[in-house]
Amino acid sequence: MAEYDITQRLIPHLDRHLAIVILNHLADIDVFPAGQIAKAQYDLGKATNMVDYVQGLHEQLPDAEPTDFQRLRDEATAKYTDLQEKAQPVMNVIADPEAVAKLRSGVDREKNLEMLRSEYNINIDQINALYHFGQYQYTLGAYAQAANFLYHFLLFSPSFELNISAHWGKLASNILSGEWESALTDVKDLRDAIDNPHGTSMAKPLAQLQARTWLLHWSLFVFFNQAQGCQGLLEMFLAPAYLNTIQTSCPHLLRYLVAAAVISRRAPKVGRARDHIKDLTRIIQLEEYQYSDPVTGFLKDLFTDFDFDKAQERLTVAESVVREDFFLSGFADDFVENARWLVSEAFCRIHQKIDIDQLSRTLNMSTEEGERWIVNLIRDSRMGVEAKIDLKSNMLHISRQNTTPTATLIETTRGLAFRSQAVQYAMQNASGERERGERGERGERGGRGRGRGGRPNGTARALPDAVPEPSEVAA
Amino acid sequence: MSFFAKLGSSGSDTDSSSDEEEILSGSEGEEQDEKLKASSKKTNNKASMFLRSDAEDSSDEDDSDEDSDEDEDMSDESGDGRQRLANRFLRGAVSSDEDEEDEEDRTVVMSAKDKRFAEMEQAIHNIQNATKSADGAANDWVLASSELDKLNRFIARHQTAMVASPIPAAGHIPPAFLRTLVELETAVTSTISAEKGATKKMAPVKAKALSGMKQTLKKKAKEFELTLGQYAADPAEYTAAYEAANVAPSAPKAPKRPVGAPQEGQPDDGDFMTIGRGGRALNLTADGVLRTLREIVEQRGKKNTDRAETIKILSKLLEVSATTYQRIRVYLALIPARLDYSQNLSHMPFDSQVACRTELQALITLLLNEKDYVVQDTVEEYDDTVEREPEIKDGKTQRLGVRGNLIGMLENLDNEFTKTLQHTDAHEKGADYIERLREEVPIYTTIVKAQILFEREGWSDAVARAIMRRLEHIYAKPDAIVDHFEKAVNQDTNGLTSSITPLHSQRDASALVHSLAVFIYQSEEPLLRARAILAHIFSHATHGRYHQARDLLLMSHLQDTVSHADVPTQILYNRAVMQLGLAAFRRGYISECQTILSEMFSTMRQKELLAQAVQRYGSQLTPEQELVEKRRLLPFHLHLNIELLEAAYLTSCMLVEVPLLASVDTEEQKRRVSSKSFKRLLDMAEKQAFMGPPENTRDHIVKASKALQAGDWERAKELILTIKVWTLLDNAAEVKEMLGQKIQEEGLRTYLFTYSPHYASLSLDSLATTFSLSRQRVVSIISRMIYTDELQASLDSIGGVVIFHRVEQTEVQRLAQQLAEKTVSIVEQNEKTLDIKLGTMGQERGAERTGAGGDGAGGRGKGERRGGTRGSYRGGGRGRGRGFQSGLGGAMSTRRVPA
Repeated sequence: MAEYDITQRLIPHLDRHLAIVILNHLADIDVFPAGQIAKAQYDLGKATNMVDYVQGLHEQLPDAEPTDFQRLRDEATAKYTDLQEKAQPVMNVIADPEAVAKLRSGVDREKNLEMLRSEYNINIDQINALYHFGQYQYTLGAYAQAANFLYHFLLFSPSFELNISAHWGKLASNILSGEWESALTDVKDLRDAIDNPHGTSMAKPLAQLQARTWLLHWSLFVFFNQAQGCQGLLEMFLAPAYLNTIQTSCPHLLRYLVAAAVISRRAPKVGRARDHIKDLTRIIQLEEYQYSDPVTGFLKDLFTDFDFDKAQERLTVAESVVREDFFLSGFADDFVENARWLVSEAFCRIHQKIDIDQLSRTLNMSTEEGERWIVNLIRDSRMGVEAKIDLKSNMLHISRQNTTPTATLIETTRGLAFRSQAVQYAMQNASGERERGERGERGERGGRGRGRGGRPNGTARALPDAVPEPSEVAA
Repeated sequence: MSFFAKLGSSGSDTDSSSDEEEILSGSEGEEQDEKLKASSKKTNNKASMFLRSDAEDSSDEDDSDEDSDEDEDMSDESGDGRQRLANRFLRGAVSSDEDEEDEEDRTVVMSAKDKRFAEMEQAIHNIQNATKSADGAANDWVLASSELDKLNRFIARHQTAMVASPIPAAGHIPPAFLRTLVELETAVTSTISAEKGATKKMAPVKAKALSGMKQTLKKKAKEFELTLGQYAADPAEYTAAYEAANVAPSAPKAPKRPVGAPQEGQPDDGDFMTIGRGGRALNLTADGVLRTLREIVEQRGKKNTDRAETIKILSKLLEVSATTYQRIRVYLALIPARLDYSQNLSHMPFDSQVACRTELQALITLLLNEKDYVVQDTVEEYDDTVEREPEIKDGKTQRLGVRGNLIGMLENLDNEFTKTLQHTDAHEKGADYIERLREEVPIYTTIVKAQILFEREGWSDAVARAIMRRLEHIYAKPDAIVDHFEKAVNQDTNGLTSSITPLHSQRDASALVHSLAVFIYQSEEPLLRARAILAHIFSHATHGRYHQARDLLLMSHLQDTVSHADVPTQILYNRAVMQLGLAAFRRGYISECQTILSEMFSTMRQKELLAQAVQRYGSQLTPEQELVEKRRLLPFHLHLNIELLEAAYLTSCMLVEVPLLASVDTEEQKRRVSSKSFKRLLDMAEKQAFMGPPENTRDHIVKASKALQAGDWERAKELILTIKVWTLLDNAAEVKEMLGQKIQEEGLRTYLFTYSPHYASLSLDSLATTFSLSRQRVVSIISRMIYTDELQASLDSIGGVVIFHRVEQTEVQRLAQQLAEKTVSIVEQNEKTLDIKLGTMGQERGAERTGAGGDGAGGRGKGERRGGTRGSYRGGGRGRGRGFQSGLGGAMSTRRVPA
């Protein structure tokens, strides 16, 4: 499966420490020769200060040049102590609960800074020392502490550049220490900073593109390690700016986008989550010339070519790809399950009479398994069709209620009267209010107006929901 | 003209007409003056002279310079017979400024020149008469003075006429004039000296005239110092020389030289002495090169400089110039002089352009070899008549700066080349055109060399401009030609290096275009960047790299800004977009092709928008505008094949629209979906009672569409594939195969749309046989149609049939449905209005709704402006608003291009 591995395309956009994690995963799954991976791990780790780790790697490598690890270790320790001393004054302040309380009460950063300077005699250099110390701890592999230091630094520092950098550092630290909740917050913060550059260095399109590319890659760690991660991922990745970034600089991320869309297909829909599959199919088609793999190919086979046999073949390959992927490996079963759902839904929608054997084959199952699967499928009312199994001829009958012109007509006019009434009601209210002449109390008026306006809105939205699956039945 | 008539009428007539003349001569300048003079010359015969002397007295007096003089004339007239005579002669001479009213009646007796001479002799004679009796009382200085003025005026005109004529300088100034000058001077001097001793004072008027005359003479003596000197030295020899020179006079050309052009000292010693214009000697020796150059440079840009002459002199100078400095200087004067030459012509003569190019190349080669010389816009002041050499300071050579604008010359030359091609008809004078086109190789070489030079000097702006020129020469060329260009360049640039485009390295045309364009992306100039991107897109598209070209276009965001760009850039934009459409077609992206090309073709002005023809209809253009348009036209070899584009467009339309038309029921919907130009063609074909066999491409496609509508895909395929222009595509066979395949598929879709109401079910196998598609493909197509709700049907995988569920509406039902839909839209409208009335709360929903509605409409708002291919291009369903706010993010595009 080495040909479908996209680690090489991912790593350039990742931090060294994040890449180490992925390489470790590669070492586990045994796709590439172990020697190569060990070498890569060593090369990657060399530049960090995680001396013990590197030494361990070094020993695995038969032909590596001898390195004086003791010296390196001493150097690292010396530097650590040095930085720690520098950061000590600020640390003292933070350790003081009274000071923290005071700082919390302070509204803006400027004032806090001022207060620090006047009461605790801390200048900006010392605050920056916090940043450097945090960074150094990160390179040592002490991620949790690094995140902690950077968190405090962010509270104080006024410099935009350093703040962004600290944000990245904090995100990485949180990812590596498994603090997914705070990592998610970091992702959101960074996203804000990138999307609203306001004349900072980030305002340049190229810088923005780069930052977005990084954020997309880094956030993979976060989203795939969370319960509701897939929705979050879809929400972020499908935002126009980020979708453009994917198309422009990292089309390989489409794999994760597709996987997330497939996986979250049956998850309870939150808010106004839409069916992303259609959008994605279009995007995959557009980007086919620069990126395609079994995962995206599966979607394409299914929804543009409607070639179920090929889709089934692809699914088999895609399954193994997903299993070996660092991010997706935990979701492999979900992915396959949902992919089958997709196939069978499309299949049932198109066909009237289905040979159960054929469907089972399409779903890559035995006949018996297939039968069970189909029963489950029928039980799930979300199919929107009525289906019956005819065991005698081993067939599945799908009866679809065909809309008669009259039904369509009723469908079109449904709710019209109600909506008009709502409009009328709203108008009456508005005019009545005006008659009463409550002009002076603007606030009240505005508030009421909002409430009123919500009503036609609400009804209009509620109506289609009340009717069972109108969009599928009609048209 | 009768005598009496003249007597009776001319008084008032001439008054007005002579006034008019004065105005004319005053305002219109010399040329006009000359013309009038020539025409009025015809009146110059004896008869008229007599007639006038009486009748036109008053009018003539306007011509005289001094009023007091006139008064005296008037008073004298009756008494003094000799004055009368003189007056009469005077009239004869003066009548040169006469009105035109007589000229129709007169026949030309003498040539213009001869007449001038007759006049001159009259004037001289008068002067002599007035002064000869100097010792007598009748010493009429007033008359002599006015006569001298006339004489001077005449000689000035004569000179201008002579300068233009091929008569050598020796023959320019008539000896009689010189003699008069000499004589008058002696007379004046003697009179003045006599006057000093005289007891009786001269009349004040006369004294004034005398002193005035003295001044004039002094001035003239200075002006004609040179010739006078020659004359004084040996009058006989001068006269002989004059006559010899005038033996074979050819027709005088239009006057070219300003009056009283500075006369330079004439060295009589030079063996190489060449007499230039206006009797000037030009020093064509190595020593005098710089001085001569300066004279010429001073003349440049003046109104009546003879450019051809300047060029001739300069090329001679080039031959004699000895040092590098001189040669650079002469080149720097000669090349602009050649470029100037065509200012009033539509284009430069071809040979002159070739010469110009050779010289520019020579100059650049010279500068490339002589590293101590540098030609720049701004250098420190230097005396341009002094020979200079690079100084050597502290063992290091200081580079010598010479003022000049190389990139300007290069660009002008390139523009001239384009103009030459524009004005050569490629159809009627194909051989000429090709010959001229061959000149492109050397020009290209020159540009490359210039680029190398600029690179060496580190002038980033000039490098970018030179590279842009280079890019413009190659971006639209087939690979073979570019290779040929590059080979020529490599032969010519031995020993030179260029970091931007390494010489002598193997690379294909695309790589070259890529490296050139990428270089320009880094430059500052937004216009250059835009043009480079467009050229790059064009090149990608020509090579069929549709996706790269499309991404580059979308990322450049040019479609948002191009309407503010200058017209040539807009034209380039249109070209690039058209090429992109064609690339989409070649790669089989039919609907993309249709979307891209549709805007251009819906304007019906493809040729104008691509600058391949000027507007034919709608004559709201003024002649000036039309001229400007004509200047913008592209030379023929750069033209895109409109017929091919149209074939691609209409074929895509057919493949997209025919199934679409079949899928909708009502006329109204049909009107909505269809692309107008294609629908118009179809409708027209429908109206025709009889359709003959297809003749042109359009016929082919229309007939094929008809066949496809009827389900006869074989016929459609045959018709489309027999279109001849496909052979112009470089992958014609593939395209044809693709087209055949698409026609089969779209034929199936059309068939299903059209005939599904008549069937309850259809066998998949029979469909596959009918449309000769694989069963798998048929299933796939039908599945997609079912899935997207285009077709109300379902498959029966066991029976291998497709079952249709569609129920036809009755008329009443249809109308009711329509009514219901309208009601829905009214309710929606109401809600929207209410939301607006009530303020902000409806915003979110409103935005959603308009967003949805805008999709369709947004794409159709097309402007009828040049370069109007923007806007809808994105809205039209291509649906890939791929962009981060990069503007013309050059570096970004660089990143995107796969290296």
